Amino acid sequence: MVESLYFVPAWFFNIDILLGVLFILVTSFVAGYSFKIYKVTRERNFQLFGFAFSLLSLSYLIRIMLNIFLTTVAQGPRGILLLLFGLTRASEIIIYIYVLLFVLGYLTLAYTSLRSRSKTVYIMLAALSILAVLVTEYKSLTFYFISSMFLAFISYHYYRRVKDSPKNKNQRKIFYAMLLLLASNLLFMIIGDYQFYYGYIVTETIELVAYGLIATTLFRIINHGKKER
Amino acid sequence: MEKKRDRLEIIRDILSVIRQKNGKIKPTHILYKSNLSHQMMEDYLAELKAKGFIEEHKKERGKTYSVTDKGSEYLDKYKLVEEFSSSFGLV
Repeated sequence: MVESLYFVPAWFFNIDILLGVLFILVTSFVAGYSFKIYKVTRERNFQLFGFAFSLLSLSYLIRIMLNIFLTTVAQGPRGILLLLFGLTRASEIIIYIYVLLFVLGYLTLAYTSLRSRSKTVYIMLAALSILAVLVTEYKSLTFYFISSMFLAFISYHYYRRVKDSPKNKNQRKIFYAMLLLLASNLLFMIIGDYQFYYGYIVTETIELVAYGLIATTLFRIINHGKKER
Repeated sequence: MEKKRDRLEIIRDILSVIRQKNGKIKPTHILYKSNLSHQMMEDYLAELKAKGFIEEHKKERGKTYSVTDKGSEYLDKYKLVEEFSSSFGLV
């Protein structure tokens, strides 16, 4: 079965790779900083948060590799179509790794916000999410639906925190970033069948704004930290 | 009403109290200064010892605590840790 994961207009292809590199930089930076804080505090939440962003970073890296690899495979007259299935065995495996890392990244973020210490809960959620993508006929739709569910949960977690402390600007920015990531993911779900030519560009732009918010928040935190010392 | 302290704040308070009287503070003083129940204080002290933030010194008349380099690093970087955790919703 051939199913499209997303449709990339040809002229946008190189910009998309550049955006991917930017997303890798931001997610690795957040992950690295979170691990650094874990080293100081030894609090499990920071370790999990760092792990979640590392998974997202790796998923973006694989997406870039996948895109570069697939340009020769699925170049169409109006753009490049990234196919989810019906490709070689090797590219199918790489796509599965991308899906796995992306879903696990957002699952880990959602799990961190649950404050649960139960490994069983994590394993159960991971198994259900992965199995759902593996067994369904509508793989890309299920993949975007599951990641959207996790993002909706994460956004709600930040919404509650913003409501509790409305003066915290950084927290508000992270809430908006998560909402934008959710919007981008939902849009990806709609444009999966490539009916919408500019859809991919819109989703990537939304994602860029979201990661911009995350990056500026982190820079602000680091600058404040330096001034305090 | 005063805001309830979170874990990171409680740890900072305990470490600050111990650092103020480095190597001389007794559990009863920590209890009094940190404003915790006896059980909670015991749990926190056990956790801080396990994490290597404090050291316990057994004396003839009970025990005292001191802050390690790791504990001092926590206090020095507390503002950064607190801002990161509150911004990213990790407290």
